[in-house]
Amino acid sequence: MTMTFHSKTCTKCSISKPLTGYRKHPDGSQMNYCIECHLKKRREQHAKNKDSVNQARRNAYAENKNGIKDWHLKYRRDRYQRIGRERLKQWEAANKEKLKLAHRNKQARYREWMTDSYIKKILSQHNNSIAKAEYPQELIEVKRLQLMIERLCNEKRKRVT
Amino acid sequence: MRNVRELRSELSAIFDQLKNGEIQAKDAAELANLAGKMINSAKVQVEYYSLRKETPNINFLADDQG
Repeated sequence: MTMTFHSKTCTKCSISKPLTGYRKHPDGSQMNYCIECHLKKRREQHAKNKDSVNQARRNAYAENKNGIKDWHLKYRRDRYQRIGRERLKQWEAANKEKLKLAHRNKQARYREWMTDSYIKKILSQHNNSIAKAEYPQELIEVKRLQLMIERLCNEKRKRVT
Repeated sequence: MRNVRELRSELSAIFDQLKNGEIQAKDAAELANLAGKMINSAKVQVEYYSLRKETPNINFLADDQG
């Protein structure tokens, strides 16, 4: 392999290319295949293993349809079993500030991400009589868009002043 | 804007225009405010049907055009 300061020869196609023509490994080192050869190899691998990989992913999805939510639920249940209700209550009583802060951070995240639950909360702000789940999805979508516009307007106004 | 679909497409167009600087923040805010009024009126209708425990039949929120 010949290597100059700014270029490198691909071990696959044997063409000397600038270093920008090479991708990097996760550890930061330059790959020996140029981008074109690397992508060609990846495409071949994908075509070869497509069915088995897709099937494995389908199986994993079927086992855990709710994603990380189920993991969190399982963690909470295990913890509840392990620690017990009384000890959990004691811990909560002793760490009220910590819990408050965690709740506040969670709400801030929801506000930033504009999750469906956050939008529903805004919609039902002055009315507790309706279950949040009853708002149609279309209404939630338009409310989200409206809030996005309002936020962008506020940002622009702040930039001007 | 006859229904929620049209409102959504209109709002997304406004958002894009605002992002690209084709529309003033003041105008966009007014339009968003107007959209908020429409959303609130639809919301009141949803809540009304919910309180009466009826199946909502709201033209504004219906999928079909018109």
